[in-house]
Amino acid sequence: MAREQSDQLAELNGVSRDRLSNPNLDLQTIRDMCDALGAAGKEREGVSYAEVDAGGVPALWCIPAGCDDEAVVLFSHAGGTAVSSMSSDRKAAGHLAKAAGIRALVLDYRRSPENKFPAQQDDVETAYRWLLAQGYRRDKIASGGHSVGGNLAVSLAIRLRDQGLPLPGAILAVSGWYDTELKNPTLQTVTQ
Amino acid sequence: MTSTQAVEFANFFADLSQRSANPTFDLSTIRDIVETMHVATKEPEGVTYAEVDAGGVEALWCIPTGSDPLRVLLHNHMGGSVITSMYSDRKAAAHIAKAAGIRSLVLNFRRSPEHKYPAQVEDVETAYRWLLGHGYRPENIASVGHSIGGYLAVALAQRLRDRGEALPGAILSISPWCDPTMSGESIEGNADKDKLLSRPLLEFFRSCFLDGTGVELTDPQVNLLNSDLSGLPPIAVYYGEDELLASEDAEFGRRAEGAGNEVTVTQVDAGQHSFIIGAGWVPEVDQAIAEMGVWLRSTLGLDAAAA
Repeated sequence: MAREQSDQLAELNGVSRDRLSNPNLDLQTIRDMCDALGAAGKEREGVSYAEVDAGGVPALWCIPAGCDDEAVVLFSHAGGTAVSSMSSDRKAAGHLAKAAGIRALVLDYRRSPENKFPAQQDDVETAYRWLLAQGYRRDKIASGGHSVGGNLAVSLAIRLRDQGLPLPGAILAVSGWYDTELKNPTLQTVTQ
Repeated sequence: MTSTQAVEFANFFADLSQRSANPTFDLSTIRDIVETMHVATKEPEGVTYAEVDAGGVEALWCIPTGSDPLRVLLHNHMGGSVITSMYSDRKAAAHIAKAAGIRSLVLNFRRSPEHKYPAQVEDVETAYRWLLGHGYRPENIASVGHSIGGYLAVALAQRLRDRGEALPGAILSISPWCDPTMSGESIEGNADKDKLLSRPLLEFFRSCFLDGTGVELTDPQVNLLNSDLSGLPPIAVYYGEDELLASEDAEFGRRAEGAGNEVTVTQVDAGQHSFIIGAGWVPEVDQAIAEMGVWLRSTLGLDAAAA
């Protein structure tokens, strides 16, 4: 990304952080404000979308025209388990799907605090098993996501490994949130 | 009989209205809350999207697979000129585009109160001229919109008519905001049934839209019921049975027909204001959108061209 656009996005994020810090906002309003950030993403041309029930998990297919039929990236959205949705991640996932030439399945996993850990991991695993039941081969499935979705992308593979089950073919973790103790030193140094 | 989905949809609007009416919220927050109404619209399959600069107006193409290459729907979103956007209207516009088999250009016209009348009408005209500049013929363009966008769809044709220019081939005006004086009987009569609009909300919209412009609420430029409706292309008017604007929309249809135009008026049973947001979910809405598609194809000569 060019520096100018990157700076504009950082500025937008800063404005959003200031607005979201209002202590009078209820969670639903905070969620709405976070979903509205989805407008910042640009539509990727040549991608169509379809809602689907992925074994009980609401999900959205992002389907690039002429994409590979056999491979899929299972994608979990950002938002710390509490905010954002498959709607706010639609365009970003559409870009990823188009760049890879494969479909993306964006999950609308259950959010906290209504549904706490491990509801999110359970939903990702449910959707993964649904993909297998649809005939996708496990080595043609990439486990992907960003922010807490990056965590979920990795933890899916860990859960499968620990159960002795076949693993997905790849993990794509973008800006993953891995350390819930928040001991990462960049939490202090990258404050501006 | 009213479908359960129509009832759920009305309740969804009621919840949205209640949440956005918090008096401590600033306009940005209200906009963000109402923007989420799009979750009521199901993603239409087989449609791709492309953002475009339509002569300086932000816009979004909704392109159904296999759609006609020559015709276009110029789509204007709801929100009283103040709220919602091309993003919140994307899926609803795409459902109409898919029903018609015609691509839709959804405009993100400038909003009030930052940009008051006539900024919105000017943006629609700019985008229309941009379409002409890209080779679309006037008779192959349908001027479409809902709520304030339903007004804009008509106002565009009136501006072009007044200058003696070629008119678009059709006007599809859904739940149009025709009378900013709010004199229609359903403003009071449907107050309990309309779960989205209220008199205070409409007063807020018209204040943002017109205050300080010197344009009166009765001015024919902004009040379709006071305007010259002669010499317009075929018009389809759709409105919901339960909305505040039902009576003025029916009156608009009568006057447009009385002015000598080819007019079809459809009241959607148990329909809320801007019911098209329930597309893909509410059967009554899907039925209305299917009819709109047939009317658009017929009026823009698509079925004749294919025959």
